[in-house]
Amino acid sequence: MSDAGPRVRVELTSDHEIVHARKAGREIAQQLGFSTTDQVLIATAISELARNIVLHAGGGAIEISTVSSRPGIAIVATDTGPGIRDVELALQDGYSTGIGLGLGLPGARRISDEFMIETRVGHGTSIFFRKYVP
Amino acid sequence: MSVVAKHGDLLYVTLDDDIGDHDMQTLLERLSAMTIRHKSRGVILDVSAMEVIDSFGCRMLQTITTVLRIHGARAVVCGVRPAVAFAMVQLALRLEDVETALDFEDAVQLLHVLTRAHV
Ligand SMILES: Nc1ncnc2c1ncn2[C@@H]1O[C@H](COP(=O)(O)OP(=O)(O)OP(=O)(O)O)[C@@H](O)[C@H]1O
Ligand SMILES: [Mg+2]
Repeated sequence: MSDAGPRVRVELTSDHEIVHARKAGREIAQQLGFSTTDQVLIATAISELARNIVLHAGGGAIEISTVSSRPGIAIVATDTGPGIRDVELALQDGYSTGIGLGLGLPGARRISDEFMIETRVGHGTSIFFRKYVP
Repeated sequence: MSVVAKHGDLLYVTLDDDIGDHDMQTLLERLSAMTIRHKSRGVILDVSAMEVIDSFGCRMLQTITTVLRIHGARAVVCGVRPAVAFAMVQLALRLEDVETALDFEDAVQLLHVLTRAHV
């Protein structure tokens, strides 16, 4: 979708860019008129998706933009990592293949209005997140 | 990033909003060393500047608390912003086994109770 609003792309190679990504997201959320609570929720979701890329995929990018049809934020998290073998399982609270709490992915989904995962084992993962201004 | 200061018998730590994962790890090591050096009994972790505390942040706060307890000190997290608290609930983050207080004064009071109870 071609959007006229702000668009930020953050390449994720290390944990430092996680902070950049969530700050950029929070700024755009604020511009869109999201409440402080929603801004924090969106920033937290970005933080989780970005960290998953750094931790589980070894790198990738997050793109944050505005939805064109109605006020809302669109986040796309893409990587060329190992992919997610069992998406249903990965979306369950408490499931982690690492030492994490296994709450990032299901948490990000709960925060969203629309959430979609495209993944191919051995090729990578793209996660599409949208939240609309209520 | 973060600042550690001695405040009487206590250590007072402020965590900045842009604290990264690696900084958290460094902070844990520094706090650990300072707690041992000063034989601190109480450590206050002020997170009021943090606009995001995600699953990793929660896990680090739990890890710091546990490590400090092993060193004989009690940690209290204070200053969680309302929006951050709400986001933590949405993410099902519970800050298990981590003591929390509203602000610095409350944290000092709580530490008095906690450390006295363990004498
Ligand atoms: N981008 C990704 N690439 C590959 N695997 C992923 C990706 N994102 C998530 N996963 C898989 O899904 C699992 C669940 O992710 P989730 O974020 O919920 O938990 P976690 O990252 O393990 O722990 P945390 O609670 O600290 O986020 C991960 O353990 C990992 O196996
Ligand atoms: Mg995660």
